[in-house]
Amino acid sequence: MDDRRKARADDAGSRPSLRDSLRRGPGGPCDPASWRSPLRGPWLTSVLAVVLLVGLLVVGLTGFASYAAYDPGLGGSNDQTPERGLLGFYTTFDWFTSPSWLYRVTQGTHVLLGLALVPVVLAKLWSVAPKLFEWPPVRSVAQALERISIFLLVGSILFLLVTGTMNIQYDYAWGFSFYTGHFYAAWVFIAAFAVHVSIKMPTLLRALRSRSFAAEMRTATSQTLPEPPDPDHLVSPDPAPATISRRGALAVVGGSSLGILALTIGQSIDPLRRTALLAPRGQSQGTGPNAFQINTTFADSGLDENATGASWQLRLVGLDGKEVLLRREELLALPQRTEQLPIACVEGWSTSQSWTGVQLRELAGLVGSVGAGSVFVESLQRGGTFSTTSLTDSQLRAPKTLLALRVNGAELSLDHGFPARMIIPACPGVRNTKWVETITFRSAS
Amino acid sequence: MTASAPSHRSVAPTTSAPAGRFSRLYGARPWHLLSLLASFALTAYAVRRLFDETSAVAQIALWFVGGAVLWDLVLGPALALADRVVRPRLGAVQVRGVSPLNHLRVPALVSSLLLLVFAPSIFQRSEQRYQAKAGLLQDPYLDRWAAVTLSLFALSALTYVVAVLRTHRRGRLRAGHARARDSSES
Repeated sequence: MDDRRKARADDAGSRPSLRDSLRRGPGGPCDPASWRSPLRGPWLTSVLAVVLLVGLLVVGLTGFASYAAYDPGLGGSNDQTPERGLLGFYTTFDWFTSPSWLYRVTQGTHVLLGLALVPVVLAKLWSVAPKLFEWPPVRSVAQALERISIFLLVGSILFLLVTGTMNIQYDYAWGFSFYTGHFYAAWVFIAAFAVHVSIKMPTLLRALRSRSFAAEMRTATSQTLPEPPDPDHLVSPDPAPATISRRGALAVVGGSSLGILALTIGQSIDPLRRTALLAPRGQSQGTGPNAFQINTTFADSGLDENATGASWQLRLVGLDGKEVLLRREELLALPQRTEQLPIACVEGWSTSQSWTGVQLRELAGLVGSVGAGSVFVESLQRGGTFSTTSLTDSQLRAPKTLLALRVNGAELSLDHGFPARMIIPACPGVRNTKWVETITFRSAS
Repeated sequence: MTASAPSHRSVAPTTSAPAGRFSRLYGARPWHLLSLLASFALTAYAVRRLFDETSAVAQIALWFVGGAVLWDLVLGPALALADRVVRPRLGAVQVRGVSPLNHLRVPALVSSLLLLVFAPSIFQRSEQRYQAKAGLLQDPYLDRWAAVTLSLFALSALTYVVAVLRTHRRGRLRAGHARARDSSES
């Protein structure tokens, strides 16, 4: 009825009523009174914002650290985004080799905290949902630009969360490289996040000062009243009675975050693995010295068991092109060293094991290449993205960097890289090449 | 999502004349424009590099926009709608003045959230690749999610029973000690 009247007025070219209906807006969610939650308001939004400000900063920094941990400056498989230009400005240093648990902690934090922040991000989006439908949609150039920036912020954070959670579960439904999508979206996110924080900081501080957190934590549902009307129109003009307190709502969000954390953290802490009920790497791999998490099974490597058998020889290529071939018995006859080192995957899971093998620098010595600038490691495997990797000279010199032959006192299993695999302290899992065939020492470029 | 609050009101009266004119035309102070332009410049640079990096820019853009649209216009409203349907029905039900509403919608919300986050595992969307990479099956995840969901509802039901009993006992104590006043229970 109302629509028909409006249409008739438009036909008649009646200017005031057209302007009038434009001012009124299309109704539905664009009508502020249709948003009735008494909890929405600047204080609640700001509490969630503070959690995200700190949390997403940590997730962001650990994510960018992970990119550096691949030592992208070495090129090849180390650099999954070679066109990064200035966006890789901070990766000019060699990634750390100590403490050996460094990447385990940074990447575990990146993934676990990222997952735990999903409820907070969604709650934050819920808390400001009326702004999406605000009418009129544009009031000034400033507001229009800010809305574009907000779109980039929301689009990028959801993109990062979706690609991240899918990637750790091996669901690559996107048709693009995870590394590419996640890396560039992270920069779009950082750009939008920084400007959002700087523009909103005064509003955030004012809102946080407007109510006492402690008092709010003592307020029951029956006493929960809406915040006073705010200039951003987050507070409903026609609030319904509260069905949950702010304390309750924050407890649900925080409880969900802790719940996700509780159901996943075990995939990064060996004794707790069984508690990680929903984490991709929360399952037991059975018992025995080789019963720990695998990345790329032997069956998936495309390798023939003959290639890893008695005929296998490790090929070392020195700086001057000198080659040495070593059978497995010869490697076992070299000085052996045992180190407790983690395999820490970019997917966030990790596991610490006791590896025995020959120091990489010992092998470098055999071909007169202790002073090499970098090391190129090739697997028997052909074609896999990470079947080759490059190591820095710090990784070559690190005493804990091993060509491992045994694990937990037993022979390596085929799944864990028999006859020999790399194990490098603090280094992303995929760079610990399995089924090693050739190690080439290169001069500093 | 919030596009705010054009900061007209934050323009201080002491602003000099040119800045005042700028603010009126633009809708906020100059630094607002400068910081946004700096942010857009960084984004533009990243997008420019992305075009050199991959030919799948359109797919990336689709997922970028798709995520926001899916949440803002589908999942978010669906959740709100479900709540709007459930709330009046359950809100009316009360046992000794205690409503089971939150004891049902909280576990339902947490369970849905877990389903959303772990959907690829629970629905075994990547079984083959998971088996090839990890040497494991995704079989257990549906059962595990169901078990977590059941536990959440059971725990919530338990807290509901406790809440009802406590209200009951408090009511009786109050009635016994001070029959005259304080008869209203909240």
